[in-house]
Parts: sequence; C-alpha cells; structure tokens
Amino acid sequence: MSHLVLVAGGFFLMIPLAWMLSTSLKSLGTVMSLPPEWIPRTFHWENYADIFRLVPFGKYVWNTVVITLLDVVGKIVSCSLVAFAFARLRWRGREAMFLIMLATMMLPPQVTMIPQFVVFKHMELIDTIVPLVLPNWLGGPFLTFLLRQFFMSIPLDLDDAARIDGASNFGIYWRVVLPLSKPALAAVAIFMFNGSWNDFFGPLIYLHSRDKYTIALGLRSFQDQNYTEWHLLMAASLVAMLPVVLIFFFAQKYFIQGIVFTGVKG
Amino acid sequence: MIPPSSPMRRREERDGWLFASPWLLGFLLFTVGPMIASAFFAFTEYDVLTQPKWVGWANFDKALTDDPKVGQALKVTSIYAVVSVPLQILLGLCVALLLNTRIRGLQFYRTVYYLPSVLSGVAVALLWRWIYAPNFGLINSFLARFDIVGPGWLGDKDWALTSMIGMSLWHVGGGIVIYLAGLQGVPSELYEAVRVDGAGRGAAFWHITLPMITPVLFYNLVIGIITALQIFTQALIMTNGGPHEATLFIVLYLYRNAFQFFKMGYASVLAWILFGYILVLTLLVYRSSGFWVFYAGELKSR
Amino acid sequence: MSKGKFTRRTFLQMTGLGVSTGLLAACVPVAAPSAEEAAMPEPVTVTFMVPGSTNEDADFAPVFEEFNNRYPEIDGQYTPAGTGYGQAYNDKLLTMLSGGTAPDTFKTLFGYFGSLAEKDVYVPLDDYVAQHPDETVFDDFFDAHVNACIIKGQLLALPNDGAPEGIWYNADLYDEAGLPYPDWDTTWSDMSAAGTALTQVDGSITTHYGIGHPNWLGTIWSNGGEILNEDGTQCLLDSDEAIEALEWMQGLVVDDGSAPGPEALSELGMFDRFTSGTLGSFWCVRGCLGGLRSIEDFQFDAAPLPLSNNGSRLTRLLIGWTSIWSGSEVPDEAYLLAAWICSPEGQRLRISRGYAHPSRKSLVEQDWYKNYECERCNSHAVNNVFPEMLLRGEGRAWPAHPNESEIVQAITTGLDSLWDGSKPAAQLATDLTAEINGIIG
Repeated sequence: MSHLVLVAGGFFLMIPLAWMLSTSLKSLGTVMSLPPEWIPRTFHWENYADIFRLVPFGKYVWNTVVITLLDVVGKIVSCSLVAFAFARLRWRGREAMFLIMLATMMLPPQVTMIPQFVVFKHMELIDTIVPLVLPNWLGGPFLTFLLRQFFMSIPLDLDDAARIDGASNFGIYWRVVLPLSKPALAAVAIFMFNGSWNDFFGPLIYLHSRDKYTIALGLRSFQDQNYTEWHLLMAASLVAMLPVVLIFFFAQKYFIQGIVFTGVKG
Repeated sequence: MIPPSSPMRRREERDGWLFASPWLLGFLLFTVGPMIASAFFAFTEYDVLTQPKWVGWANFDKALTDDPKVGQALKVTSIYAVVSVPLQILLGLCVALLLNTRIRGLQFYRTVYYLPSVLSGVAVALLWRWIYAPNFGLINSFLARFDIVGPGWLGDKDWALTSMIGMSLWHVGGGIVIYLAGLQGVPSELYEAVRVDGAGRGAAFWHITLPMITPVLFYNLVIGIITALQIFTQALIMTNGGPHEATLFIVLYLYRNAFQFFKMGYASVLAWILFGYILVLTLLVYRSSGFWVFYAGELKSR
Repeated sequence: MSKGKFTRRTFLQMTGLGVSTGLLAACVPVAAPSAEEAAMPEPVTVTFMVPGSTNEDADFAPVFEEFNNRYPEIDGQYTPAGTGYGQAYNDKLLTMLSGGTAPDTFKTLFGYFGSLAEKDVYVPLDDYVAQHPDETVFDDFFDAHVNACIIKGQLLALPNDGAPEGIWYNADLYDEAGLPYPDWDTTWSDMSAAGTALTQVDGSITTHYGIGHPNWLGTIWSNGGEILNEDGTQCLLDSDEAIEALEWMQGLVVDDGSAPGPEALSELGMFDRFTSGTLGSFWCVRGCLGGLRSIEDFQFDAAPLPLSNNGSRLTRLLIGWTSIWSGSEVPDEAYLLAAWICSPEGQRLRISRGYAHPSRKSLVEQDWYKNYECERCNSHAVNNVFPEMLLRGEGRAWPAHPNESEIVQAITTGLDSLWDGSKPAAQLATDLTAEINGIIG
C-alpha cells in the first residue's frame, strides 16, 4: 500500500521533469504552443551544445564546484563545533547566545546586504570568493541549530563514560558525538551543497569579473530584454541540477540507511 | 554529579566559549555590525547613495498608521505562514515515514522526492506557470477530465495566495531529508521492545517514533516559521506581488522600498517589524518546547 | 559497528579535499607576466557593465575587440553583470554604487535613470561632447534619444540604443480572416475590429486572441494624455484624454474579450503567445525580432502603433542610457569607451548582428539595416517602421523623474483592476492620480 503511494507520488513529481526535458529539446520558435506539445517536432539536441558555446558554462561549473566544496566542508566543521558547544557543554551564557543566534535569522537579509557588502569592501575582498566562503567557515545559524537538535538526542551517559575514561571535551566531540551523528552531518552536507550550488544573491553581489561567475548567474543570462530563451534555459537548468542530484543519489546510501541497520549501542 | 567548582567544570565553561567561537567570530565580524546599521537606518531617510538623514520615529509612524500596504503585506504573509508551515511539516513527515521502509528502489524514490528542492531560479517559474496554467495546465487539464473547471490560479486574485502555498509544498524535500536523518537516530532496540510487548505499528509510532523525532520537528517548526514569514524569491519571480497585491508579501514590499524606491530607511523599519513578529512567535514555540520536545541528551543542570 | 572510525576518516578526507581545492583555486589566477607584456606601459583599465544576456555578450564582443585595437593605451573591459535582464541587475548596480565599487561606465535600465541622476551618480557629459566632437558625432543621434538623456539641462548619458514600440502581427492570421494588414493609417477602432475578428473561441476556452495588451504609456500619450506635468510635480492621469485611452485598453480585454486578461497571461505571456501562433498582434520593440526571427510556422511583420481617437501617435522609447560613474578614477578614458559604444561604427558592429534599435540616424539608412531579411519576415518593415516613427517625431522616452520606479510600480499594480474590469477606467485614473500625487508630493 505505502509502496503504491510512493510510486504514484514519484510519478507525479517526474511529470514536470519530463516536461522540462521536452522543452529543452525544442527550438525558440516552437518552444511555446497551446495546447502544449509533449514531443518536439524535431529534436534540437544542439541546444545542449549551445549552452556551453553561448555561456562559459564549463568555467562557471568549475567556479561553482570550488565554492561549493569549500562551503560544505567549512559548514560541517564549524557548525558541528558550535552545535557541540550549544548541545553538550555547560557554560554561562549558553542559552543567551543560542537565542541571539536564532535571532540573527529573523532579520530579512535584504536590509543587511549593503552594510555587509561595505564590510567586505573595507577588507578589500570584493570580487573574490572569500565573502562567499568565509562566513560558511564561521558557523551559520540554520545548520548549527539543526546539528544542535541532533546532538541533543544522543544520550548523555556516553559523554560521562568517556569523561571517566579521561576524554577531553574535544575527545567527546570527536569520538562520541560526531560518529553518532552521521545522518545529521549528511543532511548538513546535502543542504549546504544544494544551497551553495544554487546561491544567486551572494555571487551576484560579490563577484564582479565574469571569469569568477557561477552557474546560478549563468542561468540568468538566457533572459533577454524582451523575451526569454526558454529552450536554452531549460537545458542549462537540467545540466546544472545534475551534479546535485547525483551527489544526493550516491551520498544517501552512505548515510541514510534502512531503519534495520542502525541503532545506538549505549 | 560533578561539583560546579571542579576543574572539569571550569574546563567545560572555557571550552563552551571555545567551541562556540567560530560562530561568535562570524557574528561579531559580519552579522552584528550590519544589523546595528539597519537598526540605525530605521530612524533615517536613507537612499543608500547619499548620507542618511535622521528622522526619528517618522518611518515607524508611517508603517504603523499611514501605509495600508503594510497591513495587506502582513495579512497575506501571515496567512501564507499559518497554512503552509503545518502542511509542509505534515507532508514532509508522511513522505519521510514512507521512505523510511525497505522497498526495492528506495534510493531512487528518495532522489525523486528530493529532486524538486534541487531545482531553482527562473526554470521553476516557468514550470509552475505551466502547472497552474488555467486552460492547458497540468492541474486544470486533469480536473477537466472530471468536468471540473479549475480556477485561474496565479492570475486570479482569490487563488494566487493558495497557488503560492501549493508551490511551497513542492519544496518539502529538505524537510524530508531532516526527518529521515532524525529517524535514523531512533534505536531499533526500542522497536524490538514494543514488538515483544505485542504493540501494533500505530502504537510504535506514537510512543517511540514521534517522541524520538520531536527535536527535528521542533527544528522544522522554528525554521518553517522563519522562512515562511520571509518568503520572497518565489513571489518575486512568479507573481511580483499581484494580482491586486494578493501576494504582496512583507519582504517583497520591503525589498521594493529598499532597491526600487530608494527608501532603505523605511525598508529597515519593515524589516525590524518583521523581526519582532518572528521573534515573538519563535519565543512562544521555544518556551513551549519544554512540554513536547524530548531530548535524550538534554543538559539539565547548569 | 566500526563506523566511528570510518566517519573520522571521511571527515578528514573531506576537510583535506576542501582545503586543497581552496589552495588550488587560489593558485589559478597567479600567472607571471611575460617579458613582452612587462615592457609595454600598463594600459588604463575601463570597465563597462550591462546586464549581459547571451545575445548581448555576443553582440558586444566585436565592439570591444575593435575598441581595444583603436585605443591600445586603454583596456576596455566588457563586464556583464551576468544577470540577464531583470531586477537583479539593478540590485547589483545599486549595491556597487553604494559600496563605491561601481564600474566606470554602465547601462541604466528603465525606471532608474531619474532616481540615480538625482543622487549625483553620473558625470555630466556636456564638456566631453564639446572636447570630442569626432568621437561623439552628436548631431547624428535621434532627437528623442538625446532628449531622454538630458536632465535639468545636463547631458548625463549617451544613448547606446533606444527602441520605439510598434505592432507585431501574424500575417497568416490576418490573411485567413481576410483583413488588411495594419499600416500607417490604422486607427484604434480598426485594431479593435481586427482584434475581435481574429479572436477564436472553442467552448469556454479562447484559443486565439486577436490583439495583445496595448502598452499603457504609448497609448495614453498617443491620445494626448500625460502621466505627469512638465516639471514632474503633479500627476495628470485623470485627464479626459488619458481616461479615454484607458477605456480603450480595458474594452479590448473586458468588453471584446479579444485581448488576453490576467488569467490568460498567467498561462502564457504575450511574446510566447505570439510565437505560438495564437495571438493576432502585440506591442513590442524592435528587439523582439531577436526572438521572433526563429518563428517557423507563419509569416509575421511589424507596423507602426495605431492612431488614437484624436488621430495621433506617440510611441514609448526604451533608451540604453550609457553613463560614466561619478566615482570613476578614469572619467576621460571612460568617456572614450562610452562614446565608442554609442558611435555609429560601434553601434553598427553590435546591431548588425543583434537586435537593439540604433540611436543613430545614419545607421537606419544603411543597407544591412534597411533591407534586413529573415525567413518568416513578411517585409523589410520589421526594421523600417521603427525609425520611421522616430523621424516623424512620434517617439518619446518617459521623462526622468526621481520617483519613477515607484510611480511605474503604482501604475502597473493599478492596471490589475483595469484588465480584470474591477474598476472603471475613470475611477482607476482618479485613484492612481491620488496615489501618485502622494508619492511625488
């Protein structure tokens, strides 16, 4: 029964994808029709070559890969450290700091964007990837909060046992908490990969030379003043989402296993 | 158990700040300054290009008493959040439970359900325009098979907000991943224990699964509130606030003030009003968490 | 379970991967200058920013290549924002201006020129024009284009292009209905009648709309109406002429059902409807040809805007304002680049392969422009009706105003009630006038 629901839902989710694929193989002159045509009259496979010809797409992919990998690693390292402090250590100010961290998520970034830009400008870091990467090596409330939730679900006796064995706090973080939090770390990695890969406003504001641009920017260049090249946009969007999908497909088996295989051995 | 003045406790005190230092550093370097700046701008007339002029509470006065768009924006934003957040949480949890079983092709299904969250930007706009298209769209042509005339969705002021809520469900993939990760933390011994007791699957869910994933439910609730009340990009690319300001969400309106109307001071006031709104809701949820969120490893003493 | 160990290793591997990727990335841009380069004096770098759609990138490439040939002492750099056309370009430009890192020269989009001018963002160009008559060739610009660049008596931009709006029509649909093509004598009532005749309804679904939404600005102007008074201190939308224009627009959608309403447009926009062959005609600039030329299924052509009820026509111009940033450290070199981009030859290099509309009288006389052909274009009119309207003095750009984007936003939001018939045109005009007077008051 549940299998049936899954298949039906999955089928529903694949329809839009199929439609994107069909759109990506049409020509600009025939891309829109009423009622919509599912099968292109001629298959314009060259659209996929065109996106690499019209936009330095390969370059953009490489730039995005660099930024994304740095972001993911930085996020995992820094957020797990900070989350450990919030979840497993007793220190004065912990509760207050945690609430302040939550509060920083509540102000819409649209009003802090320009002051932030000015900060990085004074550090002479405009048109480098530092403003996109460095903040991700310094915690970040969304994913720190997530890891805190997971860390707080691990029984405390494990820490106490390790302490009696003489482990330092870092030892507990490294040998107790991290190994038990693989699914959570995987979730963080997946989120960060997706978020960095698709980030538009960061690269938009901080990168000024074209040879540093990322895919999210490249996807916008199919919007002309009076019309959008939908066929190329769809082809490029499909190509751009492929790495994220592949990462998810292969990464999940390491981390998200069936319920039967896992368990906390106390 | 351990006396508060022991060297071990003092070390813990020190290590707490040490472990939290990456965030503290980032907060001091890149976050707190811009936040203070925007709080200052709220009391000024500021076009982002010339010096801000101090105007005291004038921007607050305008926002709270003299601008009907603020009321409209807060209304549609609240409706959006109140409906979409519970739906996202429920749907995400249901799908995650379905995906947490052992069936053939599980890896494939999980990817399929995560797929919508991967797609972003302008392509999504075109996709949804097609799904919601009044005559030949995916939904209305499906309804037409049963002789139902579907609404105008995004182009209809009475349905545009509903359409945006529908779109938000498309992105539950992220929530699903979190639930799946949370479900991994449920020790299988617990299930074996209830199985020995002869309890059914329903009881196992209510007494084991649900309590064990309350930490991630709490997370999804708080983050859901924050992101739903700050909804922006979808509105910008799909409806641009229309029709008839039916989807004029508060962040869209403050963005217009900041980047189109050169009124950063007024935009900052709107941002801080939203900040206060979210803060109050979050604190309520946070205070309530003591009653319903179960942490296996909560630090009780301080 | 031995997974603890595995995690730590994975963790370390990932950290290592990240750090090494970072180092690699940091090393890539470092390249030693060759001896030859070192001997030459360093050219002065001048940057030029545009939104940078794929077409724009390709069109500008020869322009910059030639500039750098002609001026070896200047390194003219084409730096597209990478945003394509959309609000994001303005976000980026505004952030750069605010942070003091703007490009030396850049293009301003509709809605921002008046606001940015008021904030002293642009270098006044009058002296430069006087100093560089040969590079500027000032008299060759269309008057309407130059006028659009002058604010309070100062020239704050050069027009690198500027597109008047015309009518694009599906000639096959007109033929099938036995209708005459729209031309210089076509009136609003002719357009309404053609719109009704071309509309096809199947049950409850309108499969073909006869006519697109008229552009509000050109329609109001054509009928002798105005949005603002001369010095921009008062809204004049509630004049009889403006209301009559709004009524005509509303009638097409609400009474005739011959133009698509908001719901139909949420299904497919005007441009896409037209290329799909289900729209009789629509309002668009010459730049639309860039997309329309790929139409495969029918013949199409361009026509001037229809004559209003009082027998006149005034088309809206979208100008490509090219300005020098007041913070630029190299304004002299920046002017040479801006002048080149806007020069007859610079524009020819760009427009002879692209689809912007020249701001130069001499260009529209050249053969490649006058006799442009495309497979499905019905005549040379696809290029020629646009400059013809300009030469007849029937083109005008929106007069720059410090609050222009807020005014435009108010009008576009207000038009929602025009298109769905929820407000009579006169009521809308009164409401909008009050709202806009509130904005500029």
